[in-house]
Amino acid sequence: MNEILKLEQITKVFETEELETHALSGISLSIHQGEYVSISGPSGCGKSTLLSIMGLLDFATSGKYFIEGHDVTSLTLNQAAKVRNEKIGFIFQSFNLIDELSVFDNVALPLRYHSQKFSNQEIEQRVLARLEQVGLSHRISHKPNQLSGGQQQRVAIARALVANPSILLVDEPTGNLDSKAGDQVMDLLEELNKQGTTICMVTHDPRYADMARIKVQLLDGKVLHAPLTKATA
Amino acid sequence: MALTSQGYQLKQAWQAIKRHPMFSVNVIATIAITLGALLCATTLIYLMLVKPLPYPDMDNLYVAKQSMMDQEGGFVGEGFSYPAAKHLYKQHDKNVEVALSYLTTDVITSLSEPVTIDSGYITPEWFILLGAEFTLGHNFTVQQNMDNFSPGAIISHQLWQEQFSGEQNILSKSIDIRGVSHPIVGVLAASFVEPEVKNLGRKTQLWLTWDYNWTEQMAWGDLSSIDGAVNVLIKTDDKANIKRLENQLNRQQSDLWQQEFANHVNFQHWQISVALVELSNEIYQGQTELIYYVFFACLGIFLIAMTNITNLFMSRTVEQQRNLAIHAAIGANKFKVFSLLFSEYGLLLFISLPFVLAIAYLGFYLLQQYLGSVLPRANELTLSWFSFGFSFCVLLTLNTLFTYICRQLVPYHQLRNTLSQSGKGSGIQIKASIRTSLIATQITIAATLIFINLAMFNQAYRTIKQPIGISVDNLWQLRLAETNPTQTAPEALRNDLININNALNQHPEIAKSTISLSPLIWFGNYPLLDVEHNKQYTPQVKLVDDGYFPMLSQSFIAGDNFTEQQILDSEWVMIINEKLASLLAPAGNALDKKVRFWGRDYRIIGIVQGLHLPNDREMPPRAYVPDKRKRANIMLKTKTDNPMKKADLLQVVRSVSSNYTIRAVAPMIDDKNRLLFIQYTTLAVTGGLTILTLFLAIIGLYGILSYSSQLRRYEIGTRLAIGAKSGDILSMIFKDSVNALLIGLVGSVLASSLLFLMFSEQLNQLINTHTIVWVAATATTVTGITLLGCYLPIRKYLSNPVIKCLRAIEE
Repeated sequence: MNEILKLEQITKVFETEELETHALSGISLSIHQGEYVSISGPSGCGKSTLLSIMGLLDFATSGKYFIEGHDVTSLTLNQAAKVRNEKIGFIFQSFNLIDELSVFDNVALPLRYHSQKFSNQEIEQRVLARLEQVGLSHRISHKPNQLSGGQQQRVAIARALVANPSILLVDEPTGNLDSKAGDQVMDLLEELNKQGTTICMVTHDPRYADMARIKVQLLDGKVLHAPLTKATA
Repeated sequence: MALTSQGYQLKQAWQAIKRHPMFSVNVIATIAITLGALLCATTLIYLMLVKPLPYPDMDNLYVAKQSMMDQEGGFVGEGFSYPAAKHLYKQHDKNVEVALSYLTTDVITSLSEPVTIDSGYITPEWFILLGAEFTLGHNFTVQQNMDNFSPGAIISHQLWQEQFSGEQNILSKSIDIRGVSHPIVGVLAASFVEPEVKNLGRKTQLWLTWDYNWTEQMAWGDLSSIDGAVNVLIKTDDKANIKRLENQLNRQQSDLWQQEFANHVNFQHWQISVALVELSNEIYQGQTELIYYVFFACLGIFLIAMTNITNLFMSRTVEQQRNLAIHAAIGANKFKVFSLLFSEYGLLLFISLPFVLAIAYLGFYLLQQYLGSVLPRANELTLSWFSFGFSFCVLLTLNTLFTYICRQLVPYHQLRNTLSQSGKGSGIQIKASIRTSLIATQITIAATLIFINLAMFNQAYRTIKQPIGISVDNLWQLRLAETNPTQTAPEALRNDLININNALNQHPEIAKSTISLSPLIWFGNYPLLDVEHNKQYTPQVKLVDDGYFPMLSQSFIAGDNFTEQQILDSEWVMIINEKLASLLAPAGNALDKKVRFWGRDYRIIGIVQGLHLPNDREMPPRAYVPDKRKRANIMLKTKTDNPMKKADLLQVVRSVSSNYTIRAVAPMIDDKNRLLFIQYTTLAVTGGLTILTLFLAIIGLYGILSYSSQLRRYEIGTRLAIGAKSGDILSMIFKDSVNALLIGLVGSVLASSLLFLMFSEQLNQLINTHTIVWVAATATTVTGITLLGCYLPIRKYLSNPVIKCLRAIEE
């Protein structure tokens, strides 16, 4: 199975004038195509920091990081943006939709930043397909603030999928949702994984962590428990 | 209860100001500087349009002005000829009151050191019409009126204090001027304000009886030439019939003219007219544009600054949202929320009031010191109830306006919901339309100011840099005054001057000297007749000696300079400039032509290159004739750059004759700078205003764009997270500002056009081939400022890992 992400001895240290905080200490992890991985742990254990590094939103203090075999440890900010756009789909706890843009335009946004130039027709096809997939094709003209929280998160999932990324990085996807909407979002993620989407999700909710087939537990910036992945089994 | 509530609010407001010192200092400093400047400019407008001149019945006071046109319609001059003024004074009707003044400079020789002062020779009515009051003594009496030759002196309060230490027995003293001892009869009150009919900012220190003026004493008066020293003031109670009075004066002057020139055919076709100009109009003549320019420039800068402060207050309101929400949650109604904001902003604005007045006071001082000679009534600029009232009203209006705008920003119904929401994405934000309006307003004002300032700066710079045709390096003008001219025979004066000139030539620091007056100080307009074609011209004329042209390095196109013998013999020979040569002989050679001048036939022996003196719009015709050495003016060229010492020169002069004192000695560059004073002032003011406008616009645009970028951090972070590159974000932010930029640029074109329409006479001269350059420079500068304003606030988001931008959202 293809290796999508590979982290080798990743550390992250936050320094202030008075304090040095080791957020991550020697994390090594691999995620392969089609896997559904959950990262959980108590508050402050480093799971969001790890997800940020995996998503190239932040850079590790030391260690090596590969995406689809390419070393992405020390990319420039613009190179990292290109990799994020083409290889990674993000789903945030607070949805991070842009209020001024319609549902359609929110979902189309990654295609507009893509190095490959898409025609309007292609964009429309791909956006509608993804909105269909998340059950919101009837809401394309709405603004985010006209939707419920669950619907907003589904729009965010459609946006994360539209550029056909190698992996979805999901940060506490149900944190801002009620349990019913949360369950619907989790069902959608499970469905996507079944269709072949690789997912890495950060959550502190054990019930949702258990829905992943591979569970990684962090404590104080270290991997406490990581079962063998499909590839290594 | 109400008082307690207001007191509580003020206390809270004071605490809030103390908690945000940088914000408070920023607001107070901006308001103090810009409102202080606006107050200065508004006071000038107030003096011009509202506050009457400090004279009784000033609406009935007029300045009579005579204008002369030769038979070709060529303008000879405007003012009054000496004999005409005397004639008007003696022949006027009983229903009008007439006063004459002759304003010049003199040297007081009776003090321990000779002192040069501004002096005025007047008829007694001068102070009556102006309602002057006296600290000591009285006005001139009827016995001291015209033709009585009864000396007398009235001194200004300042001269009394400075030269006589305020001595109480001053009325027992005399002042000697050109050999005449004038007993002091009065000291003017300190509050007396002189009407600025000759020069703006002039402060006459010594007033003497009319008969002892220079023209009378030297018998210079000439009906066909305007005497710049003479002023005619008229008071009439019959304001409705002012035209009739004008016609009457015109008839009277016409009769005098015809009588004088009955045998001169050419003069009979001259047009001589007398106009009565309201005193206030005469004082403001030609200066109203400057005052309006200063006012509009200060207003523009004030508006830019207020846009900046609006933005600061809006940011502060957003910051206060939670506090206001708590007030709303525990029962504060809409009015209370308004009054909370009103108190805090009001306190801050009114703390600025003393600083505004202090800046205005400083401004008044600077205007009096540096622009007193171009701004009418600058000496009346002072803090008054008007200053206080104006500042108070502006601050109150600003307070209401700022509070209203900020109150709109926090709708009451949303405020109450603020506490019950998560806060993510639900915070109050400045509407895009408000943001666009603020940016567009800033750009409109800034671009208009920058364009007009650049155009004016350029025009002033070109005038300053324009070659005048002579070099004034190391040149000095020495002006002597005879201590007793009436007792010096013309031949003695002539010999004295030749000897003084020779003695000065021997001085080790002087390269050469010549008995002439600088072209930068004086030319007189006199009629000249082309005998061959019987055609009259009125060139500018100067009396010079043989050293004049070599000293100025003014080169000859044809013919020769005067010889020393021609000067000594006062031969009837003339040198003319190229312009007059082209008039006298359009197709041929003007050399050896005969022209009739001062009743004699002069032969043209030389043609010199023309001078282009500062403020000459086009080169005038000029003529030069030998000086009879009656005027004690000597031009000097020094060997080095070292300044000439007055005491050294006086010693040389006194070594020849003790009958002379130094009236003035100054480098010619001072005269050149004096003629270019308006241009230098324009350069400094427009340059300063451009820099200030740029500075305020950059701060303002940066503030607005920075704040809006801060509010869009959420959006920028998200866009970066899903793959946007730095260029994508920059182009997005700039595209959002382009609308405002375009609206602002179009607005500035409209505003400039409106100003050019309103002040077409003054501003249209700024439109020339360079205009397109200044339009392009302005558009580029403003676009540059906007680009900078877009980039600077978001650079921190683009140069750090995306998580830093996102973290604030997730926190």
